[in-house]
Amino acid sequence: MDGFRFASSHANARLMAKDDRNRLLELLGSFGDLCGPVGMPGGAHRYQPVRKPSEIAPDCLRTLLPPKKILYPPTDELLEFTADGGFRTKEEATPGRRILFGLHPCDIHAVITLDQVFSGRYDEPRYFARRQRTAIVGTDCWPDEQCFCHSTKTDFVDKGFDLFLTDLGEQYFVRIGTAFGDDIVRAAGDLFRPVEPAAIDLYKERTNRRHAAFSHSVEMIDLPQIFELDYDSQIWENLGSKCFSCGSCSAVCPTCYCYDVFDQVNLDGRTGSRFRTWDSCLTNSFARVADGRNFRQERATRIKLRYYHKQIAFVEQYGRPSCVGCGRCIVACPAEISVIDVLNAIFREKVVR
Amino acid sequence: MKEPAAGVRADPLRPEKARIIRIQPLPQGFKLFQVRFDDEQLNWEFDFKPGQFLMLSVIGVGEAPFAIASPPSRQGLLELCIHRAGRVTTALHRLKENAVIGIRGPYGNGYPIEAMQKSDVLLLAEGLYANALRPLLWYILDTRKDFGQVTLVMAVDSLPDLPLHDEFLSLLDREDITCRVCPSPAQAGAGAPSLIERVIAELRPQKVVGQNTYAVMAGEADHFPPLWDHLLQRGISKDKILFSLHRKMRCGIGKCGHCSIGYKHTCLDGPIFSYWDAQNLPEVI
Ligand SMILES: Cc1cc2nc3c(=O)[nH]c(=O)nc-3n(C[C@H](O)[C@H](O)[C@H](O)COP(=O)(O)OP(=O)(O)OC[C@H]3O[C@@H](n4cnc5c(N)ncnc54)[C@H](O)[C@@H]3O)c2cc1C
Ligand code: SF4
Ligand code: SF4
Ligand code: FES
Repeated sequence: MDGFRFASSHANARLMAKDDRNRLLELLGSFGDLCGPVGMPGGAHRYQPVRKPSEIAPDCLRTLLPPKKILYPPTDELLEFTADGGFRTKEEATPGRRILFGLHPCDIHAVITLDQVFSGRYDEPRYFARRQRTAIVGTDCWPDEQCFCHSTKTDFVDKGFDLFLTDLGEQYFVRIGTAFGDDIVRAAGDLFRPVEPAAIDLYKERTNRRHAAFSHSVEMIDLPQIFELDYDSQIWENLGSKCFSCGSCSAVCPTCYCYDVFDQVNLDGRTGSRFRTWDSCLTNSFARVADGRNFRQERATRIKLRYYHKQIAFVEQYGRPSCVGCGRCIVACPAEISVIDVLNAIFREKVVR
Repeated sequence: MKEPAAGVRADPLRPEKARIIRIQPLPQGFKLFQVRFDDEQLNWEFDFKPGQFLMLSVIGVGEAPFAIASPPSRQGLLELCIHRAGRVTTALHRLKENAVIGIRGPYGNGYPIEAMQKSDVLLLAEGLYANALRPLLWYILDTRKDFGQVTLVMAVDSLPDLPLHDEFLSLLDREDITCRVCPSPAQAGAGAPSLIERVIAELRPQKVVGQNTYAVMAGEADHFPPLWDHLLQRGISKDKILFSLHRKMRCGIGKCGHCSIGYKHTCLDGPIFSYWDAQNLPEVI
């Protein structure tokens, strides 16, 4: 291999004309079942499988529910059982490949977080069965006033995608993250062009402008320490009296994964299935046990748990908070509780006891 | 795409088919269940530590966590001592011998039995919670030479009401364990010493070598603090004061989020905690 060199230092990047977006979506559709953001009446977007690539709204900033719902469905059949035969793992019926289009950097970080949660000492085979046949085509975005992913350091990705598209105005700067992404590029004929130096300047300039576009900054560095010290803060009581315990913030969060389990018996009375459904630590029943004791009866203790778990427990376990700064919970909360305000308040407040 | 892992992933959520072999009714709404896996090999491969738990499914009803009540030194059959509490446990109490159930596990950390070897062990129990010490107690007695002095102190209001009380009474005759069952208080009602106070009173005259002693307590966590104080005064380190903390559990494998205390999952990091671990956890008691 003496003297061997790759042809170009930009082997893992391409350019693509923005006008060719539909051609790209068609091409992606030929590699698997395409999912992406779809516009709804009223202006909101839903993340879902599409029949035609043209249904996708490629410039969508934030879907109501995150793409986690594809990898980790709201209700999942875990097992089938028979009265005398025991339990069988439920396999998903269609083992086709899925292409998730339009994940932003925060969403991709969230998927990486779910990968960590569902592996570890015990692997969750249903999640990984889906995950292993899922390709991710990321797109960059422009922050609105609910975004704070630069504070959570999830505003940029260098892994976790097969392809990643950055909007340079007339064209996309396309980064190739995996060999599968490269397969797509090579199958694309003249859709992609080599990167020319001017585009790199544009890319840098776009990155800098985007970085400056965030309207909020949340101090995250010393957060674990401040949280420990401020465990009994009055802030939690105040939040507890505002929160409705509706659980919306957990449902829309791309990294919330808690679940509940229930068994359902079929009409024959002899067979049935065990299911899991998304659950929320904000609901009253989350920690309630058989004798009626509830380890978190007070709303304030539950909302504290949510923050504590996302911002502290995760650092302890995985080295970073699980919040990726996507702003979905801010948009979804009927009580207008904002994670940005809460974290800033914890930093700013004088300790009141 | 994520690289597929080699081979088929085992499903940690799938219970193995098992059967109730024998049911022994006990006082206070408890029953002792002896269970075995249908797959004979599993009965011998199922390896656990005292203090670990398993997830038991009543088919068609649901799943719940239960401590393994028998010691790992008695292989081939598992015992569970189960109180009728709600949906799953009521359905379980209705089952007859030979009924099919599902079992997966073992889960949790269990008692640090390797570290405890050569040490003296104090086993301290409040009332009905004495059952929680059973797997550790019999493990220690079955491997007796590995441990130093063993002392059991328990306070109960009425001995006949204690599930498995005859088993505990049989210990009074043994020479390899000091067993103190605190008598009922002379006066009842207000002003009577609590169970924990009676444990402490009974413990006072016992010889305790602080540095070389593990204290394992079973009771209502809210009642622990005075006993902790007493044990610390006797020179026992905080990491040798052990107890189990129970939370609601849905998965047993660190995924469902229900069992968290602060930043720990009781199903992975517990259910056995030391005082040292617990004092650094928010919201424990
Ligand atoms: C590690 C551990 C070991 C346990 N060991 C034993 C034992 O040896 N013997 C025994 O009788 N009980 C034990 N329990 C308590 C037992 O799990 C509950 O009594 C049981 O879950 C009640 O279920 P249920 O459906 O009958 O009640 P329901 O109230 O109908 O239960 C609803 C659900 O809540 C959860 N839950 C309810 N109560 C508790 C509780 N006290 N602790 C934890 N989860 C609860 C369960 O997931 C249950 O499925 C243990 C609990 C834990 C966490
Ligand atoms: S906590 Fe809120 S802002 Fe953070 S990742 Fe979850 S939904 Fe997004
Ligand atoms: S969305 Fe808002 S009101 Fe609903 S549980 Fe979350 S914090 Fe409470
Ligand atoms: S029981 Fe599910 S996380 Fe511990």
